[in-house]
Amino acid sequence: MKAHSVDKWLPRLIIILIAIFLLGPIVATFIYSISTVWVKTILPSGLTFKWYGVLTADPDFIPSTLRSLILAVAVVLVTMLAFLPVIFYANVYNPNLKEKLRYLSILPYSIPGIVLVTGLVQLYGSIPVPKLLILILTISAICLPAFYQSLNNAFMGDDFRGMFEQAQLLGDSKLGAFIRVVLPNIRAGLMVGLLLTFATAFTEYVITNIFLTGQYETLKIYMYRLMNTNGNAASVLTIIFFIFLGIIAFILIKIVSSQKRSTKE
Amino acid sequence: MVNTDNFLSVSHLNISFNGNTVIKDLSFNIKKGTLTSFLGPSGSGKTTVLRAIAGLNQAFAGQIMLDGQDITNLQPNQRNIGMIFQSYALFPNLTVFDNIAYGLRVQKKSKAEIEKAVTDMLAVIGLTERRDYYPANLSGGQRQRVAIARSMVLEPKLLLLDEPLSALDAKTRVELRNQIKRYQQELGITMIFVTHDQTEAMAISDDVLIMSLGELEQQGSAMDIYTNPKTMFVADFIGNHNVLTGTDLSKLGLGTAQPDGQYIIRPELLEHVMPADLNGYAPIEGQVVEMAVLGNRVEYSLKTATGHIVKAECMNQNINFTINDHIKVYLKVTEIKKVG
Repeated sequence: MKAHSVDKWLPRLIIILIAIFLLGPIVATFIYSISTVWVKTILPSGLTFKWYGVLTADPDFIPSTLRSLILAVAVVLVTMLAFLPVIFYANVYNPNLKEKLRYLSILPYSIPGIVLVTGLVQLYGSIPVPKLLILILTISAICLPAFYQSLNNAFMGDDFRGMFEQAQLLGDSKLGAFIRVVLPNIRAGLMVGLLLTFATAFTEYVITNIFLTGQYETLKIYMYRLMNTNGNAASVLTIIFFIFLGIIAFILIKIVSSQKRSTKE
Repeated sequence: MVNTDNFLSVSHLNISFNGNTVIKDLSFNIKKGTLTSFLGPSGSGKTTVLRAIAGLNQAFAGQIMLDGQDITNLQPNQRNIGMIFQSYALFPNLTVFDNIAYGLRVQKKSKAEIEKAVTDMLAVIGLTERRDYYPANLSGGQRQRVAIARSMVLEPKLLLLDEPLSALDAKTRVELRNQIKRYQQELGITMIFVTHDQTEAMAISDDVLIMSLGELEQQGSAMDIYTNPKTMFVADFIGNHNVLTGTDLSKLGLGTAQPDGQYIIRPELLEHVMPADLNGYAPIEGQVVEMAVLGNRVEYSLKTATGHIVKAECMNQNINFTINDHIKVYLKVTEIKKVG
């Protein structure tokens, strides 16, 4: 009986402790973002939403948000156009290439950002190609692991080669077969991959900051600059980031669970 | 004017993968409105030839003519050839209706035309009630019928079926192979059916084409191939024949033959009841060493005094032989066929 009750409360206690550990900093950041002053006291001196107004009124806030959005959308487009056909080809027609892609997709994990930036500066620093373009391509490559894994999973299970060829035998062109047959059936995996890519690109800091030496101020760079001048406004931005990523996570969970439901049916 | 005997004509087809020749100088013709089976063991190149005909594998040498037109270099969507894959390759995101309508929509047919053609086809395959179901909600047999309907609704000149029954249970296989034959006869479509099951091939085919290691072994009617196999491979693959040399025949007292020649005797021709007139018959006596009940038939393996094992097959009725029994079977000596 005693052992049974320990079995019951111990896991709950562990989960509660983990939740406190994870949510504690976020809650503290939120309280800091709505505090008037919180320096030498246990609790804030008072509460206010004025820092939200200060942040949104800052002339650098909207441009940096737009820059982050442009960067993220560009990376999503490049990732989709460059990697989707390759991953499709590797999964459907060339399993050998799939093996190589798998190793290639691990590379971004093994190269630290600072090393990557040094290499990029050495390689492309002197050639007349817009650095923003190189940045977009680099972040796309960094997003490859998440994108590859999401799509790779989507290609498992169904006979995509058969479906792609069948659509052509039914009179469709290769492009038509890809759009009408392949894309709808990898929709969930593709959406997950693109959202993860978007989130990675939107929150990227190290490469963007060092490679473009702060000339292209994204929301993340703006946030770090803000931290040196106004801690409360920086915490407001952190909360906005958290909400934004929370929304993306929620959409991902929805997509994955809807895919599971349709598989069950 | 197109010769209906050469409706599909494949000439000197050679296909290689990574330097390995998998199809070697293959040539054959197929008649219009017939069902031809490509029969052969795994790796014999049946599916490779099928894919070349469909245009899914264009890296080959040779020529393919269909209904008088050279289709060798045409894309799959320009050939008017339908194909049923082993996996059926139904589109999981589309309903039964939309799967069947896919090709018609690509052809930009009117909504009314599509509705009529698909509804008619659903009636033919008996799935009218399931038009709004998704493939995941259908049984294996129903999926197979949808795959056939999806290709047939386009009225292709040629329909290729790549082992379409292999994923089904034995009973459903028999039902569906008969249905395929019925569709073929009702709609008059020329079909090529790939299988490694000789019973299946013989049951539904007008013509059988036997392949081994990328080469054509024999082409002919099922009966012709069964009764007159031209090679030992065909004899071995198509039926459970007794294979004997001329020397073996002499030792068994079955007449004189070329000593090094190879001969076959079909097991069902060995009769266990003594014929009224023994003229032209030779007895074979032996001990039953093995017995297999095959449902309506029973197969015995007899060990003769000369040490040969001879298989005999009888209908399963009023037979009381058991293992170790000494029995005598009778063979009409004219039924001994020389191979090669």
